[in-house]
Amino acid sequence: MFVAIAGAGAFVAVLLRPRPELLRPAASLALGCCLLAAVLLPPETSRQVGSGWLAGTPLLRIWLILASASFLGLHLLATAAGWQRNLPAAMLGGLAAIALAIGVPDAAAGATFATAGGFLAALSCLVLPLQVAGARLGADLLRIPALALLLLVPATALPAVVAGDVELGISIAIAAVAGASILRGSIPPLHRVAVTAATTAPVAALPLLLAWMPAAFLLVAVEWRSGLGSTAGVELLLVGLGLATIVYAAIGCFLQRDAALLIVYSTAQDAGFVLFALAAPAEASGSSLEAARIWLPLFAAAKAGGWALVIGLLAAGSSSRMDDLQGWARRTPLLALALLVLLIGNYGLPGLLPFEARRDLVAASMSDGVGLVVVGAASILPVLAFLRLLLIGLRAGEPPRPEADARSGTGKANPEVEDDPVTRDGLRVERTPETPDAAGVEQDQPPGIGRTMRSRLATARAQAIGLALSLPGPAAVAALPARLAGRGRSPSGQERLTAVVALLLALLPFAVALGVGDLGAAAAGPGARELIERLP
Amino acid sequence: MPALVIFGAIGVVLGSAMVLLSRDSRAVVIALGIVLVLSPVAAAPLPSIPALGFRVVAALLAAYLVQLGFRRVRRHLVDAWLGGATEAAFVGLAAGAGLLLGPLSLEQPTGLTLAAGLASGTAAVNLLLFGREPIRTGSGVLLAIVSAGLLRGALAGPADDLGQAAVAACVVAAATAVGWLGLTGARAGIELDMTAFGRDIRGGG
Repeated sequence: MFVAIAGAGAFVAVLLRPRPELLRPAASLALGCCLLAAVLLPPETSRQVGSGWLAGTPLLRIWLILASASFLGLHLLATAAGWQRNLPAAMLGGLAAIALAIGVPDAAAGATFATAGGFLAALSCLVLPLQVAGARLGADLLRIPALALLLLVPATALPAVVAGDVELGISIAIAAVAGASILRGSIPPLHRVAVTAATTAPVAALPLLLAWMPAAFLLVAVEWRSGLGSTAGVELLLVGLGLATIVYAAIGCFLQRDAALLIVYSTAQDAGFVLFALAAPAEASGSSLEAARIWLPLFAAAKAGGWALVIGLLAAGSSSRMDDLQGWARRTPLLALALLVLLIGNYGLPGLLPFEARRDLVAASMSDGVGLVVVGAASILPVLAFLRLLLIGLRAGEPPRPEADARSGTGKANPEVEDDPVTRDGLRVERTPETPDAAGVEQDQPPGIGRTMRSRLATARAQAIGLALSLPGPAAVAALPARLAGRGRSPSGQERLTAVVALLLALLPFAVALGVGDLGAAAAGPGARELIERLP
Repeated sequence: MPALVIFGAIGVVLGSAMVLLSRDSRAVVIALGIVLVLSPVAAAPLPSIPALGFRVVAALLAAYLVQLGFRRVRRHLVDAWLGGATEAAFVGLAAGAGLLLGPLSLEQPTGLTLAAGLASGTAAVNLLLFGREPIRTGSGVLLAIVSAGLLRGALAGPADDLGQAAVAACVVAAATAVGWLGLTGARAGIELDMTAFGRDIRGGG
C-alpha cells in the first residue's frame, strides 16, 4: 500500500510538473498520505509479488515514518523558501525506493531499488538554468550510483560460486561491497562530489541525495554482510579505512567556515561508521547489524535536519558562510534550539541510541582501546564545530542583507552561478532592503558604474573598511554602515516558518534517540530476509 | 530456449560495442535500445512473461527518454578514451573471457550470460570513467545497470520477478535522469565536454 501511494504520488507529481500551483498542494497531500500509510503499516507483514516477496518489518515502518516526515518537512521548507519542480517527484519516488530496498529480502534487488532512488535524487539536483558546474555535478551523480551498483550486485553472488578458496571469495565480495559503500556514502576521498553538490545543487534536494538514499543502500550492504563468515585481511583494511575516514572528516568538519560544508563533512564522518559494520567478524555480526540498523535511519534523519537548518539560515537572510552568520541565533532562537536538538539527535549522549549505536559499531570490529579513544576524540570535533556555529550566532551583530547573501552563496562561490543567485539553491529571497540609508550605494550593480561622486566615495570608504575586516562581496561591504549602526530587523513570517519546520525536523531524530518508536527493539527484530524465511 | 539466450547475448555484446563505436547520438540510442531490450533474454531460465513484458516496456521507455534528451546534440560525438575501435575490442575480449570462464551447454548456457555481462560491464566502466559527454556517461549508466543484472544472473541465476522489476525501475529512473541532463544542457546551450572521473570536481572544502 505504501509503495502504491508513493508511486502514484510520484506519477502525479510528474504529470503536474508544468502546473506548480497544483503541484505544491498535490505533493503535500501525497507526502502526508505516505506518512499516514507508514504509521498504519502493520508491524510484521509479507506480500507475494509474482515470484518474489515483500516484507514489512518494524524497522521498515520506522524508516518510512522518519523518511516521510522528513520529506514532508523539506517540501514545506522548499515551498516557503523557494521552489524546485523536480523535487516532489524525486521525493515520492525516493520513498517508494526506500520501501522496496528495505522490504525485499534479496540484497541485489534491494541495492537496485536504492540505486533507482539515487538516480531520482540526482534528477532533483539539475535545475534550470543549468550551468556547466551543475551539468558536471549531474554527470557525477549518475556515475557514482551506477559504479556502486556494478560493484555490489555481482559481489553479492560471488561467495556462493567461488570454488576452492571460499575465504578468498568472501574477501573479494566484502571488498567490492565496501567499495560500493564508499562510493554511495560520500566517504573520503569521494566526498568531493558531495562538496560540489552542497555548493551547486538546491539545498532542499540534498537530504534525499546525500542522506536518505545512501543510507538505504548502506543498510542493504550491511544486511548482506551480516550473513557471511569472517575473513582476515580485508577486515583489518576496512577498520583502518574507517578510522582514517572518521579522523579525516572530523578535521575537515572542524576547519570548515561554511555551515553547508559542515553538514557535508559530518555526513562523511557518520557514513564512515558503516565501514566498521562491514568489518565486523562473524561472532559480532549480530550486534554490529543491530547497531547499524539503529544508526542508519538516525543518521539520515539527523542530516535532513541539518540541511533544514541550513535552509533556515539562508531564508533568514544570512548566507551559510560563518563570516556572515553573526547573531543568527539571537534573531531566530528557534533555529538555535533546532541546532541543539539536532546535536543530541545525531551524536547523542551516553545511554541514548545514537551514542550507543556508534560505540557498538566500533566496538564490534575493534577491540583495541586506543582505537576507541581515537574514534571518540574524532567524534567530538564535529560537535565542537557545531557549537562554534552556535557561538557565532549568539554574538551581537547583523547578517548582511538578502541581496548580498544570495550572491555570496555557500562555500567558495561557484563563479558560474554567482550572477544567478536563485540557481544556487532554488531559494527565492524576495525582499527589499530594509535599511535604506545604507543604500546610498546601489546593491545590484558593481560599484563605480553610473554613480554620483558622493556614492562612489561612500563605496570606496566602505570597501576600504571591508578589506580591513575581510568581509565578502561589494554588496555586503556596502551594507556595513547599517550593520555598525546596529539597525536590525525582526524575522519575517517566512523566516519564522522555516525556523519552525527546521526545529520539527530536528526533533525527529531527537525523539527517536530518546526512545520514541522503540527503534532499538525494531533493530533487534527480524529483517526482511528473516521474515520471509520464517514463512511456511 | 538456448537459441533465445544466444540471440540475446550476441545482441548485448554487439550493442555494447556499437555504443562505443558510434559517433552519432541517434546510433548510440539505437544501440542502447538493443542492449536494454535483449538483456532480459540473455540469461536462462527466462523471466516470467509479465516480468519480461515489464522489462521490455521499461527498455523502450528508457530509450525514448534518452532520445528525447539528446535529440538536439551535435551529431559527431567524441570517443571516450582510447578510441572507439580499441574500446570495442576490449568489449570483445571481455565477452571471450566470459565464454571461457562460464559453462557452455544446452542445459546451462551460463557462459553466454557471463559473456554478455562482462562485455556490457567493460563498456560501462569505460564510459563511466572516461566518457566526456553526457550521452556517453548516460550510456555507461544504463549499461552498468544491465551488466550488474547479467553478472548476477550468471553467478546466481536470474532474479525473481521483484528483481526484474527492480532492474526495470532502475533503468527508467536512470534514463529519466540522463534524458533530463541532456535536455537541460541543450536548453542552456552548453557544450558539455566533461573530463574524466574525479578531475573536474569544483567546490570548496
